[in-house]
Amino acid sequence: MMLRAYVILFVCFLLAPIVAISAGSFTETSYVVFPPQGFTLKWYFAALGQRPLIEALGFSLAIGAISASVATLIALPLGLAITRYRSRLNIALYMLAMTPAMLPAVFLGLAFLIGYSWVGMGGSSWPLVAGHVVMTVPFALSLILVGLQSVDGTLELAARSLGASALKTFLVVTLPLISWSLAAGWGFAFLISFGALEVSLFLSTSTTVTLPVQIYTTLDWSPLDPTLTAISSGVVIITLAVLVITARTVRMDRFLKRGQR
Amino acid sequence: MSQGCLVRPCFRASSTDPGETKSFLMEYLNVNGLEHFYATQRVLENVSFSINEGERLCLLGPSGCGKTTTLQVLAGFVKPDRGNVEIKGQRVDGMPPEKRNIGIMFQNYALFPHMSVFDNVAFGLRMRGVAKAEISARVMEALTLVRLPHAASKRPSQLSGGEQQRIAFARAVVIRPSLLLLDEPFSNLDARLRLEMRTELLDLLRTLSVATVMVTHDQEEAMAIADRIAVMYRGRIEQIDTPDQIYRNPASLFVGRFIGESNVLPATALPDGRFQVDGVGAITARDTRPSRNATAVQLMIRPEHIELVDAAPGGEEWNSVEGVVERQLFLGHRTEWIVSVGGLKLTVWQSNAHVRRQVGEKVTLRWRSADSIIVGAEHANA
Amino acid sequence: MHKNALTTRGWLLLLVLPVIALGLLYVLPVFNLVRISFAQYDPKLGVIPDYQISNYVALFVDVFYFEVLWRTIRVSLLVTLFCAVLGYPIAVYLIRSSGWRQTGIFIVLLMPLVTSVTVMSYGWLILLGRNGVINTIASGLGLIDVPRQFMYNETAIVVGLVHVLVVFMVISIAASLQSVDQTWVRAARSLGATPGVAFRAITLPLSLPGLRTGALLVFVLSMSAYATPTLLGGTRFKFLSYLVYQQAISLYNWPRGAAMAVMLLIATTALLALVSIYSQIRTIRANRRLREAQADGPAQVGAV
Repeated sequence: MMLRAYVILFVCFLLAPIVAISAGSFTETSYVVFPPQGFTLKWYFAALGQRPLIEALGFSLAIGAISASVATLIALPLGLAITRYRSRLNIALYMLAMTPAMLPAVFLGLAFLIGYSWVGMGGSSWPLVAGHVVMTVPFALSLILVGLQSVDGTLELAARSLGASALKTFLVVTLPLISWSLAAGWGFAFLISFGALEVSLFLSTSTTVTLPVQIYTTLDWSPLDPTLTAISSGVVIITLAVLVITARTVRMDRFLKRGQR
Repeated sequence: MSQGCLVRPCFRASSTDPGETKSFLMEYLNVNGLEHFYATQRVLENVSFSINEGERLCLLGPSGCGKTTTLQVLAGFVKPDRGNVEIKGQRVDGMPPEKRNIGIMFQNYALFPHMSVFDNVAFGLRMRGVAKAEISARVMEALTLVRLPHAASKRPSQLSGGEQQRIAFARAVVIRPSLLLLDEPFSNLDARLRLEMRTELLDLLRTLSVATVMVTHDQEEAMAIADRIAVMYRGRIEQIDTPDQIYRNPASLFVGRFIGESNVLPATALPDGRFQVDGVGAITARDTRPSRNATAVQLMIRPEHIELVDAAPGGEEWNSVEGVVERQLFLGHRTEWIVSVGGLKLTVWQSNAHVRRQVGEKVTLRWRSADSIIVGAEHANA
Repeated sequence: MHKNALTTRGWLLLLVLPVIALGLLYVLPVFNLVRISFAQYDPKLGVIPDYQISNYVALFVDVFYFEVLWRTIRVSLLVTLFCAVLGYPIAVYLIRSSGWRQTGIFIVLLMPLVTSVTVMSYGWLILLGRNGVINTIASGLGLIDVPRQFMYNETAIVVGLVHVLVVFMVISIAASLQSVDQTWVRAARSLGATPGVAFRAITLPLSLPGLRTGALLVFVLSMSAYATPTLLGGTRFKFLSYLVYQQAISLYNWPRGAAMAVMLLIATTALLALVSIYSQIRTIRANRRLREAQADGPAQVGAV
């Protein structure tokens, strides 16, 4: 069938750079070629030996985890307010939380840089976390909203009528029913933070370098260093793992149904 | 079958309300002058009623009549703009839903999908801090009452619609509620099961003898379950009375048309107490209007009260008119005729199915004066 | 309808932290950026709080700036077009598949988006560079003698951006296709439409809202792209985002950088506004045509 053949071709197009990086990391040559020549893991060991890359990886994982957690904590009460209350302000709240995803990244990055330097950034990593939180809240919120909207509101009323307080109802009924969307929202927020370049470029200092920033600057002066492919395929593996887990918890058909609204 | 504490004598004894003896003297539930608006639209207009202990009241009306809003006000989900609710003489207006001790059976049952049947039923008891041993005893008692003790460990999704409804009922009554609310209890069941569950629910309600407010749009359900029915329309209670009275003496044109079928004829009051229907003649009728000032009225006759006869009957208590058969429909348990009388069309039902007429045949119709009821003219106050 | 069950106090309680956090960390910096864009810059003194429109005026007289702006718009339009054409069939396939296959395609679509842009660009560098697979194949087939550079031009930018952004198009179209009731298509078929005609008469018009949403998303994101154009376009083919970065970070001229960032935002939203106005006009015209047709009689409507 024509459509099927096209889809396979398109999937190849989407996967090509990822395959190129992963395969390129196994080359025995001292520069990256595709297809790779021979097979070796030496570039992975070399990458492990490169302090700046490994430190940047650890830093990015930490920033991603912290930002995603804070973003989830901000998005959850917002989602509750938007779905469980009837208010004209809901649209404004939604816009407040969702617009960071629509604004140009350099616009946000520069705004954060100028704004946060007011308080003084002083080589600390809070501006990076703050910027990443703002940037990832939209992703966490949209998935949490899918979860909250899939919970039948009468379940909460039933719990209230049976004697549960509003807080207790949330903890015993709502939270268990939306836990999958919280996990998925966290996962998505983490991935967005983990891959972010532009905002980080503005907010990174010499002591706070995220992995994308490190790769970006390295790419400028030694683009064909196979160590980079090794660390990059490490990124691909982490991303793929989080993505597969997230996609399984979300059940993508629910995501599509939301789009109809 | 042992009903233990769920049945009424024990239920009453377990109550700690000091005003218990007093509450026999006053109404059990009092609803006074509810008014409510959604944006600028008035959804409740001076809704007042009260019910006695153990009584079953049904709010009946078409969708959008305000019956569901009334239920939500009772439950505490909606705060009315005006008016108040008293249970056992105590105002519950400011009380959040969880403090009201009201059992609710939701239209879609609202069983928690992530909990077992046992945990669903135990939920309310756990929220009240009941001891573990007592919880399992009372949950099993409630499950036995609804004949589903074996389903305790199942998930709600593993149960049929009828079983889910019984669990929802068990969950609502196991907390020994002061008031039970049933929201369209049968609307999610197919026609056959609906009849079955109607009898079963009625038996359960009689056993427990708990004050109940039920909401429905189905008049048959209302008549079968309720001690009294409140017919609602456009946010107002049109009439509140026993099913029998509502059917026999509708207080308004709306009630007459909503409950059962009716022939409605425009009429004018005559000085001699009879009513002139154009093209038909002067009719004797029962006038139940509170005020008899208006001369333009509506005359209502139920199709099953009209008889097809060969000759005009004698006697003061009968009305009779001549007409022509326009259509005859055999419907199994009854036959329906449409008879044209002086330009008006009257529907006539008769259950003795062997009577046959020809279309175009001239017939005489008769009905008792008491069966033609006068209601106010077109809904002036709606 | 059940939303009244919770109190206003609870609502406020929920919102206190999120609103304060987003207000301080997001809204305030954004307004501050707009303010700074009117300030003056002096290489020795830094930002001077003397608010004029000179930064914007400077942009309007700068030919280089306009060239970059025009490239950004042109490339973004191309990217949007390619995403729509290439993504539509994928959306159709996505709707028809289910279970693991659907999830799998989703993951493949999301992979380029969530993987760091730098990593993705690096992948293209390997493929399209002088030692890349394209050159290897081309020279193997004898099409070229000397390895050629496929990187560092606008085509590479388009390829890279389509690769990353097509997922938005696919998801938007798929969402609107999901709402197309298959019985309508069957009804059309039963009335004599071939699969192709049924698609054009039923499915395509009903999926237009999704197509529009997807196009807006892709266009906005492409307009503001930074890493892909910078890494794949090389030094000669800059995007507007790069100029912002250059001004603010390399030249320390925050006010000028801020003015450029604001202009980038305005250019994007202005084009979006134009599109939505155009589509509104079209709707109005279509409605008028329909009314006229109805005035002419039912036979005309059938012919439309």
